[in-house]
Amino acid sequence: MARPWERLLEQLVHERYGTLVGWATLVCGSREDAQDVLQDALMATFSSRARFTTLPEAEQYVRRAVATRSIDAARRRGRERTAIRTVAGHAPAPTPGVEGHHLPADVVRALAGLTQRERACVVLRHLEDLSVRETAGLLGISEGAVKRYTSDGVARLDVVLGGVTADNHEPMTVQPLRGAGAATEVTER
Amino acid sequence: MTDVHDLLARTHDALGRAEAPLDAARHDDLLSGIRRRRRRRHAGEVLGVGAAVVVLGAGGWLGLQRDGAPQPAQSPTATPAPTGAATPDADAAPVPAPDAPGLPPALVLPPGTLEAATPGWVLTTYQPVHVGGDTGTGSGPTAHVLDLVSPTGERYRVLDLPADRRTTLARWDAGSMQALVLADRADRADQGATLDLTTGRLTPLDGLDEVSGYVGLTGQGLDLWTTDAGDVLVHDGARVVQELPPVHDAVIDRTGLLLAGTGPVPGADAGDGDAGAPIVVDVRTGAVTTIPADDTCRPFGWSGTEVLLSCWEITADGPRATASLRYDTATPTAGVRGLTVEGDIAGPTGRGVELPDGRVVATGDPHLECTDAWGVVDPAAGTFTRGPGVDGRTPSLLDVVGGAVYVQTLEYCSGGGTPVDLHRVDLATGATVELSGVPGTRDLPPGATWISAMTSWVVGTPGR
Repeated sequence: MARPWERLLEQLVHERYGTLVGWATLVCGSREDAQDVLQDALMATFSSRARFTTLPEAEQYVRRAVATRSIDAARRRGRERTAIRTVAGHAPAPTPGVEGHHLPADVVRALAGLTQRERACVVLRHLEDLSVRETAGLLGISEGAVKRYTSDGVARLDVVLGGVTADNHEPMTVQPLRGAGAATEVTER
Repeated sequence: MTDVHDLLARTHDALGRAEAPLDAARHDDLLSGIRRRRRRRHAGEVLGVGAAVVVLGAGGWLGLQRDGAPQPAQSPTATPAPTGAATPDADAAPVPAPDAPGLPPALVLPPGTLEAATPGWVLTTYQPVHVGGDTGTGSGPTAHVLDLVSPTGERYRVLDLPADRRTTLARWDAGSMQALVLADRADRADQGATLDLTTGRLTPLDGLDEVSGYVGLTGQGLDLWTTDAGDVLVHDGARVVQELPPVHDAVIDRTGLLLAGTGPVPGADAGDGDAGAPIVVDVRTGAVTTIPADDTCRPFGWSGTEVLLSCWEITADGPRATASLRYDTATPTAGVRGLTVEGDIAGPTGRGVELPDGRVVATGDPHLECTDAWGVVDPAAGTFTRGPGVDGRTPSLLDVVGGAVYVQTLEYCSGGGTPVDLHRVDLATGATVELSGVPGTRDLPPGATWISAMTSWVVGTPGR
């Protein structure tokens, strides 16, 4: 008979795996890295002493683990350099799985152009709605750094996507580069 | 903010809906991996008790005073505790200061040392944090201390600071018993404050409730602070005496009368998040002069009355410098001219510090180009002379005091992703002294790495 943690893991994987990969893709900047980091985070979460008994609690814990592990993984692999070099629309091409499903690949590509810390701060602050302090605690960086990474990250998204912080961004205009070709329009779903 | 949230939420939703279920191979790996780790964890729990004792012991040591007298565990109050009062015997042998994981070795501060410090001595704050390990989460800070470091690298522990708060050093007159700092507050912007180096008491400065950085001193000896909005506040030590227009990445000239940076040009809409165009702001009047260069250019330093700018574009191969320019504020009608910078430097030039002879010590811009270059730009000769190597690390910040360059470097060019170090390089001889290194792996949990150690530093300057 399966132990409680095994039942919860099965439920989480069955019902929320896609959502978790999506979350990890935003934080990591690529689906390939997202799957690896998520796998690592799931393993760490369910191997730990953390006590959670419900699906939302477990999912929340895994999301946090993804955020912290993405930072660690990026540093180990030297991805920060890659992120810097892929700023503003020159990230590696989206994986077929993302592109093939007609997802807003430009958003993923724009996120991939941020440094890992900027990406984590932007996602945690703006999607997860964590406070500056919570984000700082989770990522192990100062609150000032969180503010700076978030601000810089949103500014870079603005450059690439064209005014994501403006009041109205429908339809989204993608500006590939300063002076590098005409703008294109994408339709968001 | 709402739009960023909506954008990310829609993307997240679409990504989630498109994702295939976990494949069987990954599922099996996951289950077997978790079972293996849980067995290992259960087997090792007895060892965990010992580890907890070590941690508690280290925490207790932090409560020692300068004279080595044991103290109770750290006070829960938010007021920092001095590491100790003056010892009666100034000739006593050096005494190691209390240690904690991630802290560099330091000595107990002998009485009179702080007061006797001269320009070139450095104050640093340390707040070591690691990530990874079994939980995959970041640790809390193992300690939070303020150290005094001599130009030859001797380190003395001055204060224990509250571990859960951040204190960023801004300015210190060498030998003074207080420093200007940015003190963080929960969910609020930083507060400009003075830190008493003998008692640890923080005294908020009136009018500096929400600041994001410190720029420098004006020609009149007034402090310039920036806000999150980019506004520049002129503070006389007691109150804000003037508010200047927004200037991002501001660098002040040698007279302390002009700021160069980027910001909204007069008459343009502000607040759209754009860094703006290159500008010069008169500190006395707040008047803004637009530098006639496009907004891909950014001032990186001053040479006499000239603003030096670097311009860049983003290419498929990454950021690329397109030009270096100079703009003489003494003859503004001459417009901008090309600045020749020949030498071994790749990419745009980061923020520089002017030397008395008009040369500028600068780095490549770590935010735009991964580079290990730093050195001296000579606008008159049109050259860049590279400084001593920093072992492949990326210089991210520097200052110049008394004929020496203080260079902060980090492992990657992300601007703060890994612990930073600090070296002092004699400009005349190139002799290099490590003032702050990065922590080793001692005291780290298995699989963990240090993500932060030294959090700020300031070189003592001659008093005003």
